[in-house]
Amino acid sequence: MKKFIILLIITKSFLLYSITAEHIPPVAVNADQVYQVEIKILEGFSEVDRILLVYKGWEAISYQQVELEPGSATDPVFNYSWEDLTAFQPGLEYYFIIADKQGSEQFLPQVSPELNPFRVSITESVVKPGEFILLSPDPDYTSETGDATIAISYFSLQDLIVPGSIKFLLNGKDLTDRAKITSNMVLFQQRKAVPGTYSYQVTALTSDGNSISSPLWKHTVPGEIPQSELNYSGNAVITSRLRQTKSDAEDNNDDNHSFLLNLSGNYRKLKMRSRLYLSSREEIDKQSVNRYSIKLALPYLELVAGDHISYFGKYTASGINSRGLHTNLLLPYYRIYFSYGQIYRNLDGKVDSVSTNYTTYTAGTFQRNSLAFRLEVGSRKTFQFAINASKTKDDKSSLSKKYYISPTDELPFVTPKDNLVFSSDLRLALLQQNLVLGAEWAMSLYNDNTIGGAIDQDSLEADLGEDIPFDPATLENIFIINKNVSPFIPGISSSAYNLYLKWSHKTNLLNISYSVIGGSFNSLAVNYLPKDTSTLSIFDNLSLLQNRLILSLGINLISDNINDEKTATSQSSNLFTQIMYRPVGLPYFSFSYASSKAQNEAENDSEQDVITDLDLRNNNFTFNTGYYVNKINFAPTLFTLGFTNNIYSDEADNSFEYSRSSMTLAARSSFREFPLITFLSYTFALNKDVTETFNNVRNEEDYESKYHSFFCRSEFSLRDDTIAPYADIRYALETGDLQQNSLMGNIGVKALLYKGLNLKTSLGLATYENEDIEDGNYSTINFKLKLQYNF
Amino acid sequence: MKKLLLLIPFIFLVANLLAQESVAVSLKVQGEVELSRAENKGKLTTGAELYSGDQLESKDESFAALKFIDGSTIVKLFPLSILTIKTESENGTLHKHAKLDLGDLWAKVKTGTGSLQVETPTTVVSVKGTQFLLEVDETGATTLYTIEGQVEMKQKEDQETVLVKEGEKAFSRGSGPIEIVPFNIEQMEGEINAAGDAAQTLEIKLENEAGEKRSILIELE
Repeated sequence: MKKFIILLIITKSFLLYSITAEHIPPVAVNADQVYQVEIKILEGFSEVDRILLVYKGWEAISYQQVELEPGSATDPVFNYSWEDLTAFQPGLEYYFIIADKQGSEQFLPQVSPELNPFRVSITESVVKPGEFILLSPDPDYTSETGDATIAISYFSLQDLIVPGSIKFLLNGKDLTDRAKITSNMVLFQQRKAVPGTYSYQVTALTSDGNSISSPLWKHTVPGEIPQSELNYSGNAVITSRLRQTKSDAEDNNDDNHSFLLNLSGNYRKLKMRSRLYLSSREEIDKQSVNRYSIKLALPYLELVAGDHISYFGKYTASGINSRGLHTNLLLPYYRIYFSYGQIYRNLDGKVDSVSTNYTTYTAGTFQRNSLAFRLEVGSRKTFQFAINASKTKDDKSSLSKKYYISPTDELPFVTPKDNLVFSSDLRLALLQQNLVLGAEWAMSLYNDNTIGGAIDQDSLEADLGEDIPFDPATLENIFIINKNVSPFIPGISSSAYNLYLKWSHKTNLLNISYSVIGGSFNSLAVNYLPKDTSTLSIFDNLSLLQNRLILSLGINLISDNINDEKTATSQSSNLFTQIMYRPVGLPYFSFSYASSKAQNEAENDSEQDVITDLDLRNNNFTFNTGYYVNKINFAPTLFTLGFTNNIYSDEADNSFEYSRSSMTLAARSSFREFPLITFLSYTFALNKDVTETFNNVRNEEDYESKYHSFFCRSEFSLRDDTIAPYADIRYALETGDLQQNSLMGNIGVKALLYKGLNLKTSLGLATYENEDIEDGNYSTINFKLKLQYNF
Repeated sequence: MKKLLLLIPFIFLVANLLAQESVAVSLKVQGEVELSRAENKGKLTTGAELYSGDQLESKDESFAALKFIDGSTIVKLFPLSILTIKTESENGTLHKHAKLDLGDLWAKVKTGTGSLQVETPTTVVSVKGTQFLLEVDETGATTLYTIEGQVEMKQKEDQETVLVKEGEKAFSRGSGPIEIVPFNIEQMEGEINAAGDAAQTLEIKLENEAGEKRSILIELE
């Protein structure tokens, strides 16, 4: 099934050392169509280890994360596909975490990604009752045998529908792979169906970017559903990537293979879901990449064994994979969640060098275990109150002493930690959940170094200057108290809280949140937590004219130095706005502007001369327009024009100013008489970097380069779209102060080999020439294979 | 020349891979119904696509029901019948042209949709809507029963054209005048109900000369 990127609104690119990436999100996607999110690596593909996608629906509390499917050097696009976006309505928000091979991570968007993620509206399909015709069976048909021929014609729409975008849904499940899709009809043979009512529907994308669907039809197979029925379904995916690089300096071969098995089923009331992911990237001296999990569910009770990401409050435990045991007791008015598992495994570290007098090591990683608990009372639909607790601790015995204690001075270069977090949250939903108010508060105890164990009572009393009623040694299993506890006495600095309001009124969605995280607040079981910050975030999204006009406005204000313990306070502000208009039969346009500013300010006037002034500004402007020309009879074409400008500068010291301007012109054509879709694009970019360097004397250096990129792609559709070969070629040229060029080509095919068995394979070749770097020329061949069986 | 010779099989391969557009689907097949397409022959199955130019031949005690892609027309082919379907698509409208060489055919057509013409060895029947039964014997003689609406019958040889109204039957030998008389409900009922059974029921309401109303039930899936 093909993906269809509808509209362009924002292009964001950033620099991660030598990695440059680009993501173009659509403004809106259709709920029942596949949405493939893509991030393209423009430079430094070989430095990328993996990219995570962190996402949630607009109205959800917590983010989920998933690893993107990697591309190749000739097709450097990481992607992830959602088959069904219905659960995320009315909109989806997400951001990326890009990890390089050195272990560093950066975000996209760079500024406050959780507060300023990419936001995409999810729209409903337009139902076309007249154009989709149910040929068989007749409405209200009853099948005594469980056999039925479902035939749905879209004869009058066949010229408008994008080939490969047809989906057949039976009882909400996508069974397109098992149906026969012709150029004007969908056929599905139902054999010996169990008693019940079956509903079915067809959805499709049209060439002008709309999503349409048929009415929901039904028929019935009479009888009682057998209680002993065992049902199961799932998929198995095998992927392989091979890369061979040849350069003047050295040759390099790289391969990566993985196997994924998803299985779900039920036996009477018992439901099961399991997942097995095996990767050749799994290495014993790195954190685990393989994933194993099995989930059993009965009414009111769930049990998960293996890898699982749970939610125990925003500040207590969320967003981190835990391998262990997880149970949920789900009753109507109270729910209990429990999790115990390993979130990091121990890694022994490495021996760097050995000499007569000493041996040096690279630090290892302690095994980190986490225990978490959550009790919810009430209902999410009205009022809910919850309390959470987590204990996360490094196991000192999991690492050999030589990997965390320096042999020369006996000082630790990595220390085991201990962490306790207590929190509570409440949520009040009014006006049929159109108005939601919420609050969360948390406090932490954190020990940065538990090597020496708990302090004895006498020493503690001496440090505090007063008697204490307990012996810290007796509490060692709960929390290790010694001089490394931070802060020693819990207070505001070791607290965090969040207040939020979500209000949906007709077609307007307003989100306001304010959060404060103390400078000494620590939660090792939370994925990403900026400490010592306060954040005010306001976001409003308004849809008008049946989602054809969308207006968004948002502002984030972030400040650190919550407890006034620093000499200067850093503040950053981020303002963004976007307007998108898609009138019927006319060109669409979209406009967005984002401005970020980071500054600091001394706490006292006397310290103003001591601190380094900080005033970083980033301004990004994007404009896009497009028009679908249906009057080109042999090949209706969508023409798009995009322009983006970004300036990132140091206003305090004038040490740099980076400017990027780019323009892209593209045309996407669907040929009527021949099953061919072509995509052509030309991109021109002007990059100008002004930097000041110091070499006894202050110098200003200018780097200016022009970037040209030509891209052409052809996609064919053969045998009722069961075979879809494609070919693309890209030529990129950079001139000016940077002289480099690249040529990339790919050929590939997507094929439905048998019912439920899909194949995707591609072969690519790329050559790079860089006149500025000695031995900088190289070529690479990439092969990708993906075989998926749905059952 | 060599390159051209190499190109020809490629073109045929691509042409073969390119799917023809289907024009109808078989809703129900009972017994043995042979499908001839180009020079290939095979058995027609339930849920099969049909293309313009396909010929169906039903054997003894066999029948097939099919529906055209625009949802406008259901056709039922009775035993020992030969039918060829052809269509033309124009501005989103499907014009249907069928050829009944032998046997019996029943059709129900929605008004306001593309035209339906059925050609027999001696006549051309143009459907104005909505239900009719057509019989062709070995000599090519054609009998048309208009169950609902009205149907035009034109004789090929002399171009004589008659409008056959609801409750009337027309008989043509290929030459000479076309005979139009009211038809006998009991006589037709046995023929229609003899062919196949299925879950879905279509009701044909008839009224005889005496004014008695009866219903013939045609069942399809």
